[in-house]
Amino acid sequence: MRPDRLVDIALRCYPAWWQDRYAIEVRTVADDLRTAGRSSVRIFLDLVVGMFRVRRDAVGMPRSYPLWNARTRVSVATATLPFVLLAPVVVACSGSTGLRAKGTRVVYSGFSLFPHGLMRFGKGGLLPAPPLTPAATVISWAELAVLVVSLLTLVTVFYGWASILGAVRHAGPRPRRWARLLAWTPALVIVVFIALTALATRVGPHEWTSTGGRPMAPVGGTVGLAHLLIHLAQVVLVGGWLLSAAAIAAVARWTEMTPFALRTGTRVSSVTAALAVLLAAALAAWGVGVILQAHQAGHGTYTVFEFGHLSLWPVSAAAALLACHLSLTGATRAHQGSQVVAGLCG
Amino acid sequence: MASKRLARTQDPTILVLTSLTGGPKHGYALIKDIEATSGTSFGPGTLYGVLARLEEEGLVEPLPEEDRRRPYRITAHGARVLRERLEVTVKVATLGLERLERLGGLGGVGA
Repeated sequence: MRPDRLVDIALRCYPAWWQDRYAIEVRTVADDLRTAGRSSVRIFLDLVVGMFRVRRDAVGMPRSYPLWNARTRVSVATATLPFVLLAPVVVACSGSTGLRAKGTRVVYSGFSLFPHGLMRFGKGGLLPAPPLTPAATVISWAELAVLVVSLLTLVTVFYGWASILGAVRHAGPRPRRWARLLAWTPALVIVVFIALTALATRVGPHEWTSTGGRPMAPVGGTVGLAHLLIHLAQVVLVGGWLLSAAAIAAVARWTEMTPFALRTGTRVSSVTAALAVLLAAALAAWGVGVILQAHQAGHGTYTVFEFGHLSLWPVSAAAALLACHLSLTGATRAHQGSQVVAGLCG
Repeated sequence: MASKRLARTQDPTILVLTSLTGGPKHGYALIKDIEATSGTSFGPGTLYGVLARLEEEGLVEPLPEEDRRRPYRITAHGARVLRERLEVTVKVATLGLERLERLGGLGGVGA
C-alpha cells in the first residue's frame, strides 16, 4: 500500500464537517512530515487516535441544527445499544442456575424470588435441605438484582421504541418509507415468536404419561416438529432481538428527530446508563459470591448454587463494564447534545 | 516508567499557544517549532485536535490559506489566557524548586 493511501484512509474516517474544514491542511502537514522522514504508520496512528477524539468530543463542530441533531441521536444509540446487545448474554448466564446439596438437587416450594424452605431429594422423598452458604445468599440477591434490572431495562427499551415510533411519524424532513417499516421490526419479531410458540404447542404431544416406572412418554402430536418449532422460536427471539436493535439504530440514524423526541431519547439513555451501572455491580457481586461459596461449602454442610454456563460469567462481567462505560459516555453526550439542539431551536 | 511519563506531561495547549506568540505559523511550522523548543513531537491528528479546541474557545484564529497551508495566530484573549496560565506555572515551579532546595539541605530526600 502506498504511504499516502494510509493518510487518505485515516482522513476519510473523520466526520464530514471536520473533513470540509481541516482535511486539506492536515493532508499537507502529513506530506511535509513524511518528506521530513517521519514514518507513515506513525502519522496514520496519530490521525486514527485524533479521529476517535474528534468523534467523541466533536470539538470545533459547527453549531448547526442537523449536525447536532445527528450527534445527539448517535449518542442516544451509543448509550442504549451496548446494553440491549448484552441482554441475551446476561439471560443465558443467569437463566441456568440450580441449587445443590450433598450431591442432590435442591428445590424450594411455592412462588418466590428468593430461595427459602429448601428441600432436597432423599431416599424417603423430599427432605429438609441444609441452609445456603453466606456467599450463596449474596448470589441470590445478585440474581434477584439482575432479574429486576433486566425487567426494568425491558420496560425502558419498550418505552424508547414506542417513542421512536411516535418520533418517526412526526420527524423533521419526511422520513423514508423504509425507515417507517424498519421501526416496526420489534413488533414483527414478537408476532413471529408468538406464532411459532403457539404452533409448537398445537402440534406437540397432547399429554405425557408414565407407566410402570418407565420414563415419561408423549401421547399424540408430533414431538420432533414441536421441538423444531420451539428451537426456531428461540432463534427468532435472540436473532430478532439483535435485528430489532440494529433496525432501531438505523431508523434513529437516518431520521431527523424533533427536539422533544431527542429529549425523550436522552431520558431513555440516562435511565439505561443507570441500569447498566446496577447490572455491572450485580454481576460483580455475583462473581465474588461464586468464588467465595466454593470455600465456604468446604467448611460445612451447605446448599450451594451451581451454574450451567459459569464460563459465560467473565464474558458477561467484562461486557457489562464496557456497556457501562459506553452507556455513561453516550448518556452524558446525549444530554449535552439535547441542550445544544434546544438552544439552536431558540 | 513514572518519571518518563512525568517528563512527557506537558500541556499541548500551552505549547501551541507559546509557539504562536512567536508569530503566526501553519501546522508543519508549529510541529517543528514545538519539537525544537520542548522536545515534544506532535502528530497532525494531535495538533489539529488542539488547534480546533483553541479556535473554538477563541484563543487562536485562522488566517487566509497560502498554498494549502493555513497559518494560525494567537488572539488577544489567547495571549491573556496564556499569560495567566504561565504565571501560575512559574509560581508553582518557583515554589517547587525552593522546597526541593530546602529538602536537599535537610537531607530529607528518600533513597
